[in-house]
Order: sequence, then C-alpha cells, then structure tokens
Amino acid sequence: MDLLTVSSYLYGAAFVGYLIATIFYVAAGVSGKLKKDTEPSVSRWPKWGYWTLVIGVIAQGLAITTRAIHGKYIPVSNMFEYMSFWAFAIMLAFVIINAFYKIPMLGAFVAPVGLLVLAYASVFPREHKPLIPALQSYWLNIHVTTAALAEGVLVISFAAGLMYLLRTTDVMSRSRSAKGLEFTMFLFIALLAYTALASAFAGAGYSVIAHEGTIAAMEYKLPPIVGPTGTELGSITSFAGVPLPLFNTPEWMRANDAPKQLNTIVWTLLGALALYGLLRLLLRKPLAYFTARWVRGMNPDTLDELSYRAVAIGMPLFTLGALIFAMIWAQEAWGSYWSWDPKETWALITWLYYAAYLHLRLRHGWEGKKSAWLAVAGFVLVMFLLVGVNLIISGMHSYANS
Amino acid sequence: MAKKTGLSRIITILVLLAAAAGILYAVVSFNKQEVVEMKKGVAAPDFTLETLDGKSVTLSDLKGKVVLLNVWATWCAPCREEMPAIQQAYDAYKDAGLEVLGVNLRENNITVKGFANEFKLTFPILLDKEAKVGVDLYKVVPIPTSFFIDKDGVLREIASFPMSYEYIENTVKPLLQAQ
Amino acid sequence: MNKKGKRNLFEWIWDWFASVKVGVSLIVIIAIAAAIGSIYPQVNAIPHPNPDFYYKDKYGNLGALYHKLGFSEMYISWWFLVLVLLLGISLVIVSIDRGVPLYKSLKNQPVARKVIGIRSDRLYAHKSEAQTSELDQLGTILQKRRYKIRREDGALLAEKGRFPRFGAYVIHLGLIIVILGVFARLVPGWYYDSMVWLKEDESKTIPEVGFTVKNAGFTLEYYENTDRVKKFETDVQVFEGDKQTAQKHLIVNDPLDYNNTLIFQNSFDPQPMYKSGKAVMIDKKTQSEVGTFEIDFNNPEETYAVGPYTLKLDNYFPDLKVDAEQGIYTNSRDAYNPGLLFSITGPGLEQASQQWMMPGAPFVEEMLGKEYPFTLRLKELEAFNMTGLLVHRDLGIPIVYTGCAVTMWGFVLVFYFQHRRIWARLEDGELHIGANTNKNWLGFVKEFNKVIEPLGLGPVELKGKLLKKSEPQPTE
Repeated sequence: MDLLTVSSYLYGAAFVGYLIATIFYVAAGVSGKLKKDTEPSVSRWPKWGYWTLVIGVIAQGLAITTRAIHGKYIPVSNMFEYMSFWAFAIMLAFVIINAFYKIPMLGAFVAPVGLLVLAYASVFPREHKPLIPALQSYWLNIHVTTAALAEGVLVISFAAGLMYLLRTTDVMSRSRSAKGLEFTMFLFIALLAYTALASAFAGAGYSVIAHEGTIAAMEYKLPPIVGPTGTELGSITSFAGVPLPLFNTPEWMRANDAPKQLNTIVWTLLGALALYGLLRLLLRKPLAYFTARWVRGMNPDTLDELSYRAVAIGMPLFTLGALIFAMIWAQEAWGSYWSWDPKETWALITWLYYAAYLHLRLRHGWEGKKSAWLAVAGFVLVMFLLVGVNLIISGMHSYANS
Repeated sequence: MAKKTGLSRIITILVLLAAAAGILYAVVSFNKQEVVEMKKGVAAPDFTLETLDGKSVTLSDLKGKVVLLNVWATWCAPCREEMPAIQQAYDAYKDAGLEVLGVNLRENNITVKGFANEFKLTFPILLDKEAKVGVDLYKVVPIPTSFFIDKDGVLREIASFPMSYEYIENTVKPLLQAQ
Repeated sequence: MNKKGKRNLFEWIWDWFASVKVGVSLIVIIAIAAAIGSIYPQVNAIPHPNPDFYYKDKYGNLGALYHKLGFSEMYISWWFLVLVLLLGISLVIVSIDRGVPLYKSLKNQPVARKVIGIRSDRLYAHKSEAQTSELDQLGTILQKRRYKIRREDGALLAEKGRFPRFGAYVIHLGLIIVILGVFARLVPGWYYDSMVWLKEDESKTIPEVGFTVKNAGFTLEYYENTDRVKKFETDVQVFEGDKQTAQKHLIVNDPLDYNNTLIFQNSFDPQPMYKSGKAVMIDKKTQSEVGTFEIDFNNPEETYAVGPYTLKLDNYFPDLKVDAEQGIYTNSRDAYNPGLLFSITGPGLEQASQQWMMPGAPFVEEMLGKEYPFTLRLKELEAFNMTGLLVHRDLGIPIVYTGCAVTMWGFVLVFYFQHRRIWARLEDGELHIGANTNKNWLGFVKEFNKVIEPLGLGPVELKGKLLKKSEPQPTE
C-alpha cells in the first residue's frame, strides 16, 4: 500500500473522528442537565468529544504528513488540500485553545465548522498533481500554512462570539440580534444541507457531462440545474422527470468551474430551505432557541474575552501569514510583492476589517454584543476570501482551475 | 509652554500635508504615460537608410521637396488601409515636388518587397531594420505615424492615425505652395 | 485670521487626524474601495489594449459603467491614493498625540506615590510595624524578577515592561515605514518593472537600468502527455556595452540579481516560432525528390536553387492569416505560422509556377495546392519559444520588509507583553504595597503573591471582577 492510499484512509479516519466528536458535543448540548441558571451543564459528553477530536486531529496530521512524504511537497496547493488543511487548522487551534480556556461547549460550535469545512474540501478533486513552476517554493508552504492557522484561530473568535450572542440575546424576541442569530443558524443548515447532498450524490456515483466531447465539456457531480453559459435549456439531462438545465450561468461569472459551483450553490440553497423549513415545522421554535440552550449558564464575560483573545492571536498571525509571507512569496515567484490580485486584495480587506475591530474594541469600548457581531461577521468575510474569490473572481491566485 | 506645543503641531501638520501633496503629485505624473513627442516647427532629424533596391537615401538631400515620411509595417492593419491613399497622393503630387518615404520597421526584405509589389507602391521604401529612425529618432509609438516635412526640412505636421487621401492632400498642398 | 484663530484651525486639523473614529472610518472606506476594485479585473490586467472597448464587450453595461466611474483603475486613482495618504498622516499624528503624553507621564511618574492611591489599587498588601529593611528586601526581590527599581526615602517604584505600552505606536511606525517603502518607487532610478520578451539569441538593451539582457538559450518541458508545464528555464546573459558581465541559468523563483535589479524567469510564449528548417521539393507526378533547401524563417533568402529548378520567394508572411475582408496578410513579424509564396522556374515549366508553402497550415495548403506541380514540405525544423523575463528593480523593498518586521514586533509588544508596576510606601511604620498592570491580571496576581510572600504577606486576591471592561490606567 503506497503512502497516498494510507493518507487517504487517514483523512477518512480524521473525518470520522470529527464527526463523532461533533455528535458528542451536540449530544452534550441537547442532553445537558442544568442545576441552576448560573451553572453550566455538567456532563461527560464534552470530554469525550474533546478527546475524539484530538484523535481526529492526530489522524489528519498523519494524513497530511504521509501525503507530503509521498509527493515530496507540503500539500496545500489545490482546493482539496488547502480546505482540508484549514479544517485541520481549525481543529488544531481549538484543541490548543481549549486547553487554556476550558469552555466545554466551545467544541459544540467549532467542531461542526471544522467538520463541514473538511466535508466541503472532499468535494474537490484530490488528484495529486505535480506542481507548476511558480508554486515550487518553500515560501508557499510557509505562507499558506501560517495563513490557514490564522484563519483557524479566527474561527474560534467566531464561535465564541456566536456563543456570546446566543447567551445574551433573547432569541424569541424580534430584535435584530435575534434575527441575525437565526440567519446564522440558517447558514449552518445550509452547510449541512450541502454536505448531505454532495455525499449522497457522490455515494451514488452521480456524474453527468455537459457538452461532452467539446472543449466546454463539464462534469457535474450534482444534477445540473445550472448549465454553462449559453446552453440550450433542458438539453443536458433530466432528474426526477425535470429536464435540466433550468437556467444558465450568467456571463459575468468568469471562473472555469463557475457553472458547477453555481449549481452547487443553487442545490445548497434549495436543500437549506427545505431542511430549515422542515426543522422549523417540527420544532416550532427558531433554531437559535435550541442552540442557545447549549450555552445557558455560561459566563458571558469569559466568552467575550475568549473571542477577543482569539483575534489577538489570530490577527498578528494573519498579518504574518496571509500578508507578509504572501508578499515575500509573490516577490520571489512573480517579481512583485503586491499586484492587487483579488486574493491579495481580499486578504488586505480582511486585515483592515480586523484592524478596525481591534480599534473599536480597545479604543471605543465596543465590547460585548458589538464585538461579538463583528467577530461573527469577520468569519463570513474570511469565508468569502477563501471560497468566493476563487469562485467568482479569478486571478493568478485562484485554485478554482486546479 | 502652550504656545510652543501649538507651533510644533502646526509644523508637523504642514510637513505631513506637504509630503502627502508631493507624493500625490509625483504619483499622478508618474502614472501619466511619459509621452515624448516630436516637436513641430523644428528641423526634422536627419538620417540615412537603405531602400529595397539597395540604394541609399538621406533626408537632408531632399531639401527643396515636401517630404511625407510614413512609418509603417506590413502586419499593421491601419497601415495597409492607408497605403493606397498614400500611393495615390504620391502619383498626384510627385511632379509638384512631393516625395514619399515609406520607413518600414524591422521587417525582412522579402516580406516588404512582396507587400510593395502587392500594393504597387512606387515611392521609395526604406528599411529601418533596427528601428533606429522610426523609434529612436522619431519616437514613434503607434503605427502608422506620418511626418510632413516642408521644403526647408522643418517638421510641420504629425499624423498618428491612418490617413485618408483628403487628409494627405489638405496637408501637403499648402506646403507645396509655400516657397 | 488672528493668531488664536489660526491655532484653532490647526488644532482642529490635528484633532481630526488624531481621532480614532476618523482612523477607523478611513480603514473601512479603503477596505470598501479595495473590494470594489476587485470585482472586475483592473486595466493593467486586461488582455486587450483598449479598455473602453473591453469592459463594455466583456462585462456589458455594468462593466462599461464600472470603467466610466474609474473603478477599473482603482488602485492608482488619485482619490484612493489620497485615502491612503490621509491614513498615513493619521498614523503619524495619532502616535504623536497619544504617544508623547504617555511617554512624558510615565517618565515623570513619581516614585513616592500617595498612600491613598496605593490603597485603592486592585492588588494591595499591607504590613504593620514594618521597617526600611523590608522595603529594601522588596526591592531586591523585584530586582531579581527583572523589575527596574527606583528608590526614594521611604518609597519604591518597581516597573517592568514600560516599552510594550507603546506597542500600538510601534505598529503604527511599522505601517508608516511600509507606506514609505511603497512610495519609494517614485524616487527616480529606484523602480523599474517590465517584461522583456526575447527570442533565441535575441538581446535587448534597457536604458533605465543601464544594461543589456540576452537570451542565450531557452528550455521548455511539459509533463509527459499533458499540457501542464514542468519547467521553463533560460540561460540569460547580461552585457554592459559589449562586455558580458554576468550570466545565470534562470528558473522560476530563482532570479539573477544584478546591480540591485532582479531578472526573473517569469513567463514564456506558449506558441513556438519557426527558426530555420530544411525543406524538400517533391515532383508530384513522379513522387521523386527533386532536392532540398534551407529556409531561414527570420530572414529568408530571395532565391533557392533546388535541383534544376529555381525558386524565387515572391512574398513571405511570417504569421500568416487569411480573412474574408482583409485577404491574406501577416499578423505579426514573428514566424508563428510562416507562409511562403514561391515562383518556380525550370525545366518542364513554360511559365513560372506560383505556389504556396505553409508548414503550419497543411490543410489550407492542401486546399490551395491541388494543382501545384510540386510538394514543398519541411523535413527538419528548428523552432523555439520566446522567453518572458521580468526585469524588476525596487529599491524600496528592504524598506517595506523592515516596516513589516517592525509591525510584527509591534503586535508582539501589544499582545504578549505587559506593563507591570509595583509601588511601595513606608509611612509611620506602615508598609503599603500596591500594583497595577495593563493586561493579564491573572498572571500578575500570581507574581504579586510570589513577591510579597517572603515578607510574610498574602496571598491577596484581586479586587473587583477578574475580567473588567476597559481598565482606566492610573496616570499620576
């Protein structure tokens, strides 16, 4: 068995580990018995969740190592490798930070994110392709790994911020905070819906090729509701009796894989709406109501402090990894340390965002709720940096074509 | 003490604003493409080039004639467009004292000769193999660019676009009529 | 305007730049502007020489509007620049505005702090019937813990980590240095950035950097059976005048550093160019080879003697294109797709026979050449790809990197160090010890208790909540 196969199995093991850990944490939240409103739920589930997570992290660490040894490079050069490394960074950041800030239910919010990121990563082709010359440099590894770690830490700030908001917002009210929280829950459901759909169709071996035999040929792993620009509607295939595509990719979406990815988004949206609708129907209350119960009795100040601390760690790391190391690598590879490439630009925008966050918090007293919302919104920004830029805006930096 | 502090602040502000203004100015002028243009109304730079037939042509030898110096290449579509008009003008005003010099940039003899045959060009075609005249001397950037030189060797008009017969005629006529 | 009025204007300007609200607003506006600039590719990145045409054509009306509003040149527009410069000025002024008073107050802080003040500190310990020797002992303990001790009669101030208090201003300084490094490009001779495309053995002189670059050989390799590039490398030579002064085998990411200028292997032209070849002339009727001849695609000869025939090259199109409107023409002067029009004279030909040779377009040639008496075909071909070298000089880079390092140092100071102070007053036999820090109270409490233990005091607890919001700092 060669190392690449071993690596594959280890990724699978890591995924399973994360999945089980998530289940443990969610069970902890759901089943937690509460003594008083001021005491957090006491239960052994979080502990099992934590240690299962640790095992998952070790497994993925080994997976990355074996893949690296096999290919003689550090595996961060395509979407699959990068996203799964980011999932690893998120879980690793959590494992370490949780050792210092013992907040049992933090895992309930971080583990699902890491799990879903890894699930999202596995949708991409994992072929190990040899590197093009511009990518053969050790500065690449340093830049990407540091940036991924920083973004993992920022996820913690997001999770802690979210927990703070759930703890301090009356989710049954019609305030903006309550609505915002419910929307965040919806986004989670969307990620969940996506993962479920992608796995289901992948498991069934679904594959349809649009415009087969031409240079515009595109392989769809989900039924193509959205076709490539200019396709005759209904001409590709049909699913559940409906001829597809129902509509085409707009011209201004430039990335080569845009039709596939837009299709994925449409499917996710449909799945999310269906799943969310179903849950609301069954549960009769906003989803945030149930998640809020996981954080009942926690000290909000601790959560607020953790959210800030995560930014205090993540922001300098991000500066170093996503900006400084990126500049050094760009200078080496392309002879110019800054060229306003969309990815570079969005890294700068993220940096400016967190700089504003720090000033508002440290100088304007924006603590508590304001700071928590900034942390949550900041994560959305980071997600766009990683996903949206690749999808919609293409440039030298894009992984979308690999 | 208060007055002193106030003064240092004023100075700081002025220095910073001046520096910023300076940088702004420098960047804006840096970005504007430095267009080094030929100046009209001065003597056109002299040069010597070989023609397709192997003869030598020097610009200053043509004093007393009106010279239309056309910088071109066969791969340039607008150059191809205007060639017939130039040839037509040459035919019409050759006897009135118009000389046309077609300065070709950097191409090999066969390509230029084939082109000249195809378009039935009868005016001298000069081969500027290293672009020493067209680019270095006459600072041509987009082609075609044409230079109109009067009987005293002074550069009178520059056209950086494909010319129509009417345009050439209107530009050349007054130069031919002048003494 | 009278003197007072003038000072008011400048004071107003000063306060405006020193305001955090303004700073944050500038940061946000710059971020939004940068985001807008990323929607469509900027003018310097579009593959078309005419932006007015390109944006409308490729992105429709939205694109045309985007271009019209100047968003297509966002990052070099004067108002984006103004925003950045305003932020730069604000960084300077805010650092002076806060940093100088902070420095002064910490420099001039009294050693003998009032007892009332000490008693209200969040960490406080007290001993009765104390002696000066105990004050000295405290001083020694703290000195061992790397505190700087200042003593007066009956008073002690121990301080550690004052400099990290200025961490934010170090970050600002670092950012200012980066901005200066970027603008250093404006200094004449400090910046040059341009691609140099060179064919085999071609050299170009670059006056701005004062030397000539030559392509002495370019290698291009693909991964087997794919069109993924494996490597592309150039043997580059540098000349000053006629003398060769440097050479290097350039690979991507490994530039030649010459005279503060970097020459990178940046790119290449994927379309190969014809250099020279050996052509064979075959008599179609007899299918026998008449002869061979050499073609130089860069500068071909006019006549060729092949067997008993004479081939005259009537026209040569290095980059042949055929168009309904424009007919037959050449697209460039580089031999990407050579088309040769020969007139053949010789035995058996009553008149000159004209025929095309198009080695790169055999189908077209076949279509045209049904009646040709001969076949002209390339037997051997030497082709090459143009290499794309990036010549880059930016003397501002070390300044930018220095700025980055200073910024990182600033971050470390802000987030990982603390400013700790411990005051002690011995008054009427009463020893009062108070302590303050700007962050990480938890760690400080531990240290404080360790410090006072040898004096027989403590452990004390922190007054007030552990996690208090926005601590005010004692300034006296």
